[in-house]
Amino acid sequence: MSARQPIEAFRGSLDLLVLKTLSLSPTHGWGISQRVRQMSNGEFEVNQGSLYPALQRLEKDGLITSDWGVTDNNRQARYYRLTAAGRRALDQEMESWKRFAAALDIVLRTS
Amino acid sequence: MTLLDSARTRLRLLFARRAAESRMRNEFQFHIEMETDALMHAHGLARDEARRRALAAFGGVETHAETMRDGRGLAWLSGLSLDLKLGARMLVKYPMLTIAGGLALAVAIGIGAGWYDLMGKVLAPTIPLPQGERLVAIETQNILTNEPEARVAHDLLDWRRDLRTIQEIGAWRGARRNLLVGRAAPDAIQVAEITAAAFRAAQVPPILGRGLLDADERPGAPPVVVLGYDVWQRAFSGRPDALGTTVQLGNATATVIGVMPEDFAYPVNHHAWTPLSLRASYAPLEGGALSIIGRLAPGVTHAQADAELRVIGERASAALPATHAHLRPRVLPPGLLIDDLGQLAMTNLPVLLVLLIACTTVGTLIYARTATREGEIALRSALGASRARIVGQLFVEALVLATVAAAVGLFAADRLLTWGIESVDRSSGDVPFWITPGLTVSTMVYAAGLTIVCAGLLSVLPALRATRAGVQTHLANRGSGGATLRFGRVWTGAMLVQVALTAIGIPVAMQGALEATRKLHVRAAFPMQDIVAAQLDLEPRFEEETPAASEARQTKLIAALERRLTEEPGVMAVTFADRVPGGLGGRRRVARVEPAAGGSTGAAGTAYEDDLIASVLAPGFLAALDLPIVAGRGFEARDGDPRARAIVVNEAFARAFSRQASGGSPIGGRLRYASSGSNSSSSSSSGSGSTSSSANGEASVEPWYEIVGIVRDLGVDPDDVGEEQPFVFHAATPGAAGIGGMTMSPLRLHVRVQDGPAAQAIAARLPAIVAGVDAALSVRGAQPVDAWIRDRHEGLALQTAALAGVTLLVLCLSALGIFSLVSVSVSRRTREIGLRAALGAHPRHVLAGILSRAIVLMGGGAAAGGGLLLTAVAFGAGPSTPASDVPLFAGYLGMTSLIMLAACLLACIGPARRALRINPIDALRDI
Repeated sequence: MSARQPIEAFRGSLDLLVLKTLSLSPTHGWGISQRVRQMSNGEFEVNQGSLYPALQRLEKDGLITSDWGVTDNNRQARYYRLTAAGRRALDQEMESWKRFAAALDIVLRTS
Repeated sequence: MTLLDSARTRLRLLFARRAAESRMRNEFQFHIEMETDALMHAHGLARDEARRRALAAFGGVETHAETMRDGRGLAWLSGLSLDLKLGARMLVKYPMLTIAGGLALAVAIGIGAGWYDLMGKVLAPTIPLPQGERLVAIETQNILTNEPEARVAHDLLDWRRDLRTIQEIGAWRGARRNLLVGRAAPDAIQVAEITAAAFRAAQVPPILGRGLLDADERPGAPPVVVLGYDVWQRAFSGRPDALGTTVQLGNATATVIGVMPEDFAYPVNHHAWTPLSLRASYAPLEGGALSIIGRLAPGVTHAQADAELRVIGERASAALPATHAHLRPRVLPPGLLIDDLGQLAMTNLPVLLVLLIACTTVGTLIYARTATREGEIALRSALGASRARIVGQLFVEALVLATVAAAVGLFAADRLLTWGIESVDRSSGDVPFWITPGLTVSTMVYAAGLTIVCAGLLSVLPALRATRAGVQTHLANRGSGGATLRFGRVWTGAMLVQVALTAIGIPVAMQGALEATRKLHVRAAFPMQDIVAAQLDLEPRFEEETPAASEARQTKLIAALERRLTEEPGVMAVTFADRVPGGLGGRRRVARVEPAAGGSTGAAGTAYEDDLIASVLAPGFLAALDLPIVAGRGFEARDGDPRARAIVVNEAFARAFSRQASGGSPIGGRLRYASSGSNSSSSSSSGSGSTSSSANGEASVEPWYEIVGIVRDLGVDPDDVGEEQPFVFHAATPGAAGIGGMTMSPLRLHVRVQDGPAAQAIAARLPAIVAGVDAALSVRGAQPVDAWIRDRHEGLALQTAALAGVTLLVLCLSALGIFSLVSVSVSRRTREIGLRAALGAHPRHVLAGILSRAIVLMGGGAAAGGGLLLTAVAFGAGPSTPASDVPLFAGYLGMTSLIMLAACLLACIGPARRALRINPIDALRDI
């Protein structure tokens, strides 16, 4: 784990992070926040509370669905999974993010 | 799929508000617990510390919860529920507005919805049968006379052979017949003689036995009958062994083969069905009157069927020019009177005007209420409520009031329509089966629409006005004790109209009540309770009979009935007329009377012309009622001959004649009715073969009648001013055809007995006695004459009560309007009143300043309404002549002004007291 202060997930990138996380396997809200932190080597810190409005929005848009399930330690939790539409949206979002990052990179490299 | 998923989720979230809330709380809790556990394991923290950090990392739980609620789109829902609660609270907080405004809206919405329901049922009904909308009637119209032509047996055979778009084409005709089962009393029921095809077209199976089959209508087939449910219950107490029983229907016998389900009264209002046998061929226009019914073939529209029928009709017109040149058959849904929906909508327009007036008047009250709530509205605006939000809130409040009113109005309309339909059905039994009590779904939807429109009219304008001024202005005025809202021109105008309506309404209601009282006050010149009157029905003539033979049979039957009844103990006389004295009905006609040549009137050209009521009596009628002849002679037996042309008039007629013809007597004068083309007779004479129109459709010239006598007024038919109406009596032999439409139809039997108890006894036994003479005769509605008069009075009393009720309501609304006006005025002028009080103004002057506007408004409205009313009366719109009506209505208006002034002062008491209690120190503090 990095000793540096984690970066707050950029505004607008939260949906992408959630979709990407869920593309690996279905999980609950806390699991998503943990997985984001793990996958970014602790660089990204998802604002835990604001994760849920984002999940609700994505579900309303039909990109994810949810169901109650039981965790390893036998607790009731709401599991989220990606829908086909969500998978398509993830591809599009990733594509546009890459273009955005590349463009930003070019701008920042310009001396 | 995405859209579907999304829609499903939205719906689930919207309607499962509580579930969503609990799910959110559980998720939050799970998250915090997991985070707490993780922190405890990773950092070895104590549970409390770990939980504190977990909560901190999660952020404000309530903030996130609120964001999620907003995201669910439920914010407006909670706002709506708040508005609804507020609306309900407003109903309680302003009880007078709730009662008067609610009643006004209830009356208006009730009338609107009730009228819509009735018009729908009567003019464009939905037939409550399987696929009832595919049932059709074929009606033939004579385009020259504009009369229906029902002698269509010949055409029916053509249609059956040629029409491809209509199936199960059949015919029926109805008649009232006595059903006799064993020794039980006769039951006069409506029987339909119907072909098996027409019976099948209903597509309703019997609940017992079988329906009519083609085999039943073949010549020589055993006579059968299918009974209706009610008849089966009455005659057989619902026993299944009724099947196979032989019953008597009129003079014919038939075997019961089936029982139809409850409420089945197809084709119109029939309760038993017998097969209708038609021959294999008919000459054009041969045979009796038939109604034709059938079903559209699958996939065929009304228009297609109509088009095919028109082609066949045109072919018949070309092939049979002598009889069919002007006959045009067409396809119609059964019972349909208006086939143009636009026209149907137009019938609702005048009623909607009532609603608009009610909305305007209640709108004034709502506006005033809004004015008193300015401060609240300003505060809400200041706290961030948008204009739309406030307008929405006021709309929902009005909607609550309108919904409560609509519920009351719909309930009242439903009860009233049910009562109306049931009483018509009870008295005449002629209500078609598709006109059933209970409001239709479309009426409910219509009423809901009216309610929303009402709420919009009531609230949107006041709300827009109330929210127009800036927040600062409102708050500033609130601080200084004044008000921003004022009664502008629109509202003052609306109130003026309202007061004017009251000024018109009160005298009209007074006059209506007075007229009704006069009409209800009968001074019968004959013993009403000793005469039993009943409607007498004869089976219609058989097809094989000539009109003359039919007439002979009917007169013979009636003569036999007369003889039989005279034998009854206590019966003093038996006679007939087309109208029960003092009851409903009677033919109102316009007549011209020329005085006898050389009579006392002198001037040869002087003639009397007026409208009067014509009634056809048996020659012995007047004598049977002990009515004295005051001049000339009464009817004699020979006057029953239609060629005799002798008529007797009543004293009221003689008085009116004397007034118009300079004091002469009508005896010996000649009377002729205005052409029947302009004054249609209320009786239909197609069944007896006599018509007042000639074959080519032109109205015939009315014959002259000679006035031979004047009879004492019966005293049971007063007009609006309480005087007996002019009557002309014609003599006719009951059952015989008359000339010039003067046939005794409908036929009403009158039995004079010794006293009241004897009358009750004979009324109860009459059906059995009549059927005992001949089963082809039946009676209904047997009761003493005073009961017939009571029946008429019931409707009149209801009408008067309704008029008085509506007027009282309008008066209440006007008073409330004045109250609102003065209230608003006082709250607007608090500071000014305080200032004047501080400067030593006398309370009387302060009051005069406050009340002057109310008095001016009341006076202005009353003057406008009164002026309009008097002008209308002066131009002859009153009940009598302008010369007598103008002073009468001026007197009414005087009383009206007093009532309205009293209402105005009563309405002003509260606000005036409030104004006088204003403390100058308080009022001046904020200056």
